[in-house]
Amino acid sequence: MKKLIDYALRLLVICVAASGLLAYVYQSTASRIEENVYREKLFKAKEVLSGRAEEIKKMDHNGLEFFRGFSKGLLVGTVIETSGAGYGGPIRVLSGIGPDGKIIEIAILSHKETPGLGTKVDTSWFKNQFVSKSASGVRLKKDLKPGDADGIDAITSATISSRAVSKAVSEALAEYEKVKNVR
Amino acid sequence: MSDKLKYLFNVLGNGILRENPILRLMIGLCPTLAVSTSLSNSIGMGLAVTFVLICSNFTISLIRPFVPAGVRIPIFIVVISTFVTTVDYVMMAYFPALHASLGVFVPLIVVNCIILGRAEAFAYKNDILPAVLDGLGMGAGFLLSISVMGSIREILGNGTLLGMSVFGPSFNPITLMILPPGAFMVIGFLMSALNIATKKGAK
Repeated sequence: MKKLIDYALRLLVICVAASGLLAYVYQSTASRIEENVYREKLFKAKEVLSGRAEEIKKMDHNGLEFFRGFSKGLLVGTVIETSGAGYGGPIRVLSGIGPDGKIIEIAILSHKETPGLGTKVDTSWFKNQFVSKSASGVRLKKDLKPGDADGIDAITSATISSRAVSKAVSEALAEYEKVKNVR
Repeated sequence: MSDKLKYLFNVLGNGILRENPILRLMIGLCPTLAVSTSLSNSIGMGLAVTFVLICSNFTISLIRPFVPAGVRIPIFIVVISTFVTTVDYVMMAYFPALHASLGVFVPLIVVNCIILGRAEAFAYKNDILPAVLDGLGMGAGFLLSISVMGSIREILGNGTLLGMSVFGPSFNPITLMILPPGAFMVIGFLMSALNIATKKGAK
């Protein structure tokens, strides 16, 4: 009995020390992490508009957050963040959409996919497949029904990851329809 | 060379060949098989594991007198996961570029049984300096074997090494090699090669 209490107390001390350390580390890094994430998002937002935008504006419409890119006061594109359920967790995707409603470029913000397989969603050959596609063309080719025109090639042995990105992009295009006339 | 120095040197070299964690002790196989699809992935995982291994061996050797045998395993796990989470946060805050390329490996380190294995088999029974050297040696052994595996699999399975083409465009890569069956084949060949090589030396 005495031994049991001794064990429990020592385990408690270690766990309290560990959680104290973790809380400290979390607190002292949280604001920097948030800042990094936001800066990365702004940077990527410019990227998915293919560098056409000189100015990026953050917008808000009924709780939907998105970015608008302008060049010399003219709208060059809208950037929307969505996510799809990947193999190891959500895959956050940033889609740049032109005023014609077609994808300019996409970028992967974060993912937890299997190294070497699902991580290939972040390669340019996969992402470039989405360029100039509209809502009808962003489904995976293997998910198409006969008669559908165009699709995306999935990554070998990473269908779930590929499908997650394709779903996220089509969600972004659907959200774009809701916000495209917002000024 | 004094006896003490000889012993420390021995501890350091142990993990690289005689007790190579992957090819000899056969621990830490799951991350090895999963991550060794390319050389750059292997190096990333190898470095991250080595770092955590040195730090966890150090910490466990340090708190050794306070840890009773009956609850040592839960305490080891708390120490290791605290450490991995700290590394993850610090990397995210101060080295976002590094985190972007290594981030996927960090959560995998917690379940790497080399770290728990060395905590249990070595750090819990030894002083701080040998424990740190054991971490370094085991980490180096892990890095070495996973990099060899990664190179073989990337060259055969993708026709590249570190992303650069090896055989030119006419090479038709054996995709099987970067899929799980390829991992099992390569590790089997490597283990038998090492066994043959060391048996000859013993005769």
